[in-house]
Amino acid sequence: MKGFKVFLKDRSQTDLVAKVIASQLAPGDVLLFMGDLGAGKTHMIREILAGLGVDKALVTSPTFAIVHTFEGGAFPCVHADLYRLGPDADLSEIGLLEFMGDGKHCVFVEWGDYLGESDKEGLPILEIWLYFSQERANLEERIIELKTEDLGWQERLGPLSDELKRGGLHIEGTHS
Amino acid sequence: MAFMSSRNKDKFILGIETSCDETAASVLRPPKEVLSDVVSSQIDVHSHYGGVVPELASRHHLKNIVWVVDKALRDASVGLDDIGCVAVTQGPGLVGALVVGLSFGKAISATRGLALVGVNHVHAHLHAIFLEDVHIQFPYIGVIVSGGHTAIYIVRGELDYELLGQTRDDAAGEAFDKVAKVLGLPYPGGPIIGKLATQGDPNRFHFPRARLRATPYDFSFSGLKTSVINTIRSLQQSSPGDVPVADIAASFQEAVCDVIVEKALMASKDTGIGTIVLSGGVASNKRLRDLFHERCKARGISFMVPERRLCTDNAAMIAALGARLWMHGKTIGLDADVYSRGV
Repeated sequence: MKGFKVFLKDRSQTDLVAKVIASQLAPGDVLLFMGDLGAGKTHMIREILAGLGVDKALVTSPTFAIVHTFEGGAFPCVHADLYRLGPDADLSEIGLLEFMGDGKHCVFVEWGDYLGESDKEGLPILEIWLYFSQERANLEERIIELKTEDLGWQERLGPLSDELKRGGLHIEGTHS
Repeated sequence: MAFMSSRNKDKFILGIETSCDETAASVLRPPKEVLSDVVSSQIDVHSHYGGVVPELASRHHLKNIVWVVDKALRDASVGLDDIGCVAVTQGPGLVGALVVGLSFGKAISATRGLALVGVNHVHAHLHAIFLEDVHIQFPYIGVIVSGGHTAIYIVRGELDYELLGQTRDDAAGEAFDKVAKVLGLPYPGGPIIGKLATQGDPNRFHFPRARLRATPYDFSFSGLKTSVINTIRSLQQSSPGDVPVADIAASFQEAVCDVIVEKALMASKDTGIGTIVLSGGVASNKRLRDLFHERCKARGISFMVPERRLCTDNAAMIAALGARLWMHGKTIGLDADVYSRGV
């Protein structure tokens, strides 16, 4: 597993991370988002989708309907939320697995840690972990950790962190 | 078959609803006589999981639908020969759950040669007030607040719904459920937060009310949710075991209700429409009803809300709006599909 942490002071820095990630995406990619309720998973995915050209106003919480699909961007995208399914869910009935790694859709999954190991096998997965700062003093402060075992994503971590550093963000950890 | 022919004029309508938690069926004599109204709640199953479990939901709809429809017919003392049209929720909702109801409706329609209409679940909530014995004139401002939807409409006619604004992120009911979960309360969160809030101080915490300049009728509950959760987590760290749950519940509920009522009143003022109708599962929340009553009264706005049973998910409202669709010849074919998001 390789990756790095980004320390964010406010929402505009979170949005910059989203924009930089969007610039590195390709059809077939799978991004898993992990973090407490309110950590900003939906917000970050909305900003990434906006970076791909999707109308922001269309991106709402998929908690209720589980899977939302988007056609309006650079390539078709899927925004899923496993919150209500819980950790032991059988995903075969919700139609998400068919989208993952199909080479056409870019798939964003909230509560991605609920996916089983067999569901993830062989997929180009980037894990995105969102944390509140320890003190919770500033509501907009976040730590975002990017992690991946996928070789294709590991190659992209370098350009990603370079771009984030150019944007003035504080990064810790090795990416290669 | 498309139009309500003279042969069908004395026939009843069978409503079927499977968009989320509930498997429900109802027999209605158009336009508003509810002969039966059966709801098989799945809340007991879901409460173990802290939310609706869609995969379980479709399985339970499958298990329930035959007896729920059968009971609706028996309660109404009618047989399928007395039914002229089947009205089914087509969306929005959980796709796997919706498919169960629509497929069942299609099967009855095909085998019995009955008209089939597809009903928009949110529009049916907006129409539910017509099942009450009230005099209501178009247009009115319709406000839907539930676990999956939060929206304001102008309802200009029985089939004419104009969306003014909706949630940009979380639905109000979703925010209730998630805050309840962080407070360690069981599912569903709405009723329990409402109950606890009566013992709490709504002014102890001032949680943010999102006012969106560019789209003032839209809602955003995500920032409120995050703020409340942050408050809870901080208190859990600083004074564990001593979190003022009732005060948090009351302050959170006040913020949600305040912003919903404010936007509905703004819609009324901006459009000059003097009637507001509230519906959806969260309309059962007493504070929300009271606040609407209070502020509408002060402004001379007429406020209506259907009885609780008609606010929560039910099939009578599906049958009622289905009857209007049937009358207008708006039937669907066997190739019709469900939709997950609103239109």
